[in-house]
Amino acid sequence: MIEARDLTKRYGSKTAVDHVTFTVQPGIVTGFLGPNGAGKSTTMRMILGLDKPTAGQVTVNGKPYAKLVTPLSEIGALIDAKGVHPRRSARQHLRAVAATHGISDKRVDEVLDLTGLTEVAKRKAGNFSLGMGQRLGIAGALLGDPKIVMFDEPVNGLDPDGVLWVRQLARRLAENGRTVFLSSHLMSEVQQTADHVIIIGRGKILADAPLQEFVRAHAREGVLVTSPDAGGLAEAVKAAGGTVQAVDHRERISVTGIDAREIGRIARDNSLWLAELRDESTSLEDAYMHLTAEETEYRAGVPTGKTDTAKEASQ
Amino acid sequence: MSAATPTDTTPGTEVVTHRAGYARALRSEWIKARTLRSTWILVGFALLAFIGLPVLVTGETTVTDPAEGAVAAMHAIFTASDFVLILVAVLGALLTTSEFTTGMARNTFTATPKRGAVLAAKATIASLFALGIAVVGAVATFFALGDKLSGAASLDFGNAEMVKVLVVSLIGYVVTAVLAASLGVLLRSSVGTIFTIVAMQLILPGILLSVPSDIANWVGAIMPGVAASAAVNTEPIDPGTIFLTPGAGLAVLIAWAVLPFLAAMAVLKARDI
Ligand SMILES: Nc1ncnc2c1ncn2[C@@H]1O[C@H](COP(=O)(O)OP(=O)(O)OP(=O)(O)O)[C@@H](O)[C@H]1O
Ligand SMILES: [Mg+2]
Repeated sequence: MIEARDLTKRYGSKTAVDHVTFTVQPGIVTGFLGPNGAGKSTTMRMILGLDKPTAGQVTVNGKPYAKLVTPLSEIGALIDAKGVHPRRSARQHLRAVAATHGISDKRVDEVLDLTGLTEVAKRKAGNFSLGMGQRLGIAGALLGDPKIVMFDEPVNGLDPDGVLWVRQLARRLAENGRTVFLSSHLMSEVQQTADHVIIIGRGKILADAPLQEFVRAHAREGVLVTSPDAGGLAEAVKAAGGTVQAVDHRERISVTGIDAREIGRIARDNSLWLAELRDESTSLEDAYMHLTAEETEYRAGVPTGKTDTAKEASQ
Repeated sequence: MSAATPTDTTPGTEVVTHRAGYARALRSEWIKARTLRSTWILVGFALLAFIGLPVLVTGETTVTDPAEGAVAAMHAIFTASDFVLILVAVLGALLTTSEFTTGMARNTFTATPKRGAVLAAKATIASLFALGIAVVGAVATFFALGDKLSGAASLDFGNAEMVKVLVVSLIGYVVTAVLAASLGVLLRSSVGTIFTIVAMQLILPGILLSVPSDIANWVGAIMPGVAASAAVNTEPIDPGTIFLTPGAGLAVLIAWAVLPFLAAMAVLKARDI
């Protein structure tokens, strides 16, 4: 479990993390989302005691990081895949890290095997591809069989196999009762992996909720209708109390306020040609975009701005 | 390259971990130092210079007094020190600067959050390399010089002055290594650290001691190399010159390790990694 209270980090006049309070629970995968520069990496560095908070505190399994006796068995972190000496081999790098905790060479070989690096273990880490570097970082994080794993952008640079592998690993670790905390830019990835999301923007927590709840609260739930008679159908739907938005395609509209079944009936009653009728996917990406758009508008002081609703048209 | 389907992090038995402190940091730092080829290239060049230079420049002895001869012989063995110490400094500096230039520091200090323990371990490793180079180099040079160290120019371990030259030289090697590792933490730059040490060892003393300014002369006199010469000086000190007494020279030399090390300790604990 990771607990941050009022955690704040300022670099000069720049506030990177701004009075952040959250708890990362064991047994689930928690996604840590936010745009570039939101403060994700800074928060993670403070969790690991690398950066000193300007204010507030954060504990790992109840203790400040510096007080952990065997930190690698409490939390395994991948912070920066390039944070390895480029002229040392992968295996020797891991042996050096393992030595700080008296972890055996057998365990080093185990994590190399687990991350698929056995064959390249003797190669210099500087010659690794981005994906291999990520695997090496993950191997290092798993060395101490930690109760918590924390990965900053773990799928960055991984091929589809690698992405699937990280997803399975994260799920399995959480199922076994560990705390899993992942930051990512890839919404679809987080949607498939996380149970809970913490969203940070400009150093502040914007949302902290179970994934499904967050998506339901912020995603638009509309029905996508394709019809060669889109104009007429839009009129009929509006007459029945629905709200209509035009989408990219001339024959396509998005309807809210009336469900798909009812739209089908309206089309039949008005003898309108219906080519396609389906519920719009309510994805994390949509929800995230809506939330951050709201934030942007709020900050810019233009609450009626047309950031995402510019598609709105009066048909 | 394909990874095994993850079961969990532990395919086998339970992973045993032990307290992360100085002792294990020392083992880790030893693995780090010896698994870089650059370490051994530096050690190789240091030994080559250590042995090669005296062999090239040492002539047949002209001294007749065995007491003087023993001291001169020990000085002959350490002829190359000015140059070798620069390589020792590079080695010591890289132990700390490479952590910051490669980003490895984040791994190092998450594995051992006790920053003081990590610095102490690095200083120990730097000192051991320095001592290793000095001892192996000195013994090899002794044999390489062969007949040139015979007769009145023989080593004599009963000669206190000669033993003092040896001990102060060895202290100088350790001081340089610790100073370089500490400066590396303060500057976090390989080039900056090595340049500073080269300036202090080779460039500044000559300039500072020759300009007509008392302050400059004093600063020159406390440069580590100058302090080390003062520590083994047997001549009476001319009251008109600025030169440290042997005792003060030794104290200043040791301070060049202790003070930067303490400063590095304080800064390392206070700064973000
Ligand atoms: N060491 C530092 N010195 C000064 N400013 C910093 C430092 N580290 C981070 N920042 C600033 O703090 C803010 C947060 O950065 P951080 O790296 O935590 O964001 P992030 O959410 O990880 O972004 P990304 O998704 O791009 O990785 C940024 O504006 C960044 O420029
Ligand atoms: Mg980041």
